[in-house]
Amino acid sequence: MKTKKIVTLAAAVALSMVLSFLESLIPPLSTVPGVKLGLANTVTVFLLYTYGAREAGVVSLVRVLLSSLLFGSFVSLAYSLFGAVLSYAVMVFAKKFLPFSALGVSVLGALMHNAGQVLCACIIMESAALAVYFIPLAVSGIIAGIAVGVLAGVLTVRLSKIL
Amino acid sequence: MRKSDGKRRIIFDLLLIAALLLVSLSVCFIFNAVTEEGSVVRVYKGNRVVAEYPLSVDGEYYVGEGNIVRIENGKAYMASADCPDRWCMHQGKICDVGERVTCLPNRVMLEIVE
Repeated sequence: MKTKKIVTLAAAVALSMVLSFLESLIPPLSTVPGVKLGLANTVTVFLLYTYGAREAGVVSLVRVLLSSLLFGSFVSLAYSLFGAVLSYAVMVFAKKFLPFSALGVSVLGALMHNAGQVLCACIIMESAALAVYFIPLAVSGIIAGIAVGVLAGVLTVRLSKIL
Repeated sequence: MRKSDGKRRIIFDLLLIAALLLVSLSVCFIFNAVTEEGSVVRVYKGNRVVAEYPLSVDGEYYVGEGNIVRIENGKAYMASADCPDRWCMHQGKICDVGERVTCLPNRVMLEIVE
């Protein structure tokens, strides 16, 4: 791999970890657990559209592992992993087969990220009824996905010249 | 890829977003309309019910060794927890049927019933 690419991906991991940390500082937006802005997904979507699925996936995985090790607990790792994997799978599928741009893909990704977290909570608590939490998370996910998608789109356009 | 392809994609995006928002907001609305206040808070440890307390009586109860649930003015909430993130303590006070407060690390859940 070219040195430039290695450095860029490393920077991407660091950036997404910082974004993840920053949003954890924002006071809880709602009583529902897991209402995050998903800012770190900006990096994932960006990488998906500049380098490709593999790079986006690896950076995402590394970020989730490192973030949970540094700032979270074993439970938060499970949470994040579920969300990230589901979100990633859907985004890659959507980018390849569905007629959406980065915006739509990002919205689907954010939605699926929240869905993954709710699913994880249902499994841990062994209660399917926790799924009702997905209702407000769906709305916040869509809004977050829009913001992240627009941001990632702008970044892709601006940085693709340098990368 | 031609420019018109980009525009077409964005239209699809907007349609997707509109559809998703419509569905989720409707569900939100319906959900709010059918909830009603409850009278009992049920306490789970894992998936076993370990206690039930009436919301009408103020009180403070231990759940296992790490959580304390308090009932005050007809609402229940997690007053104290020893989990790493204490997220359960920020989930607010619950009083409607079906509302829940969960402490995932300690596998404790409070749920309002009937």
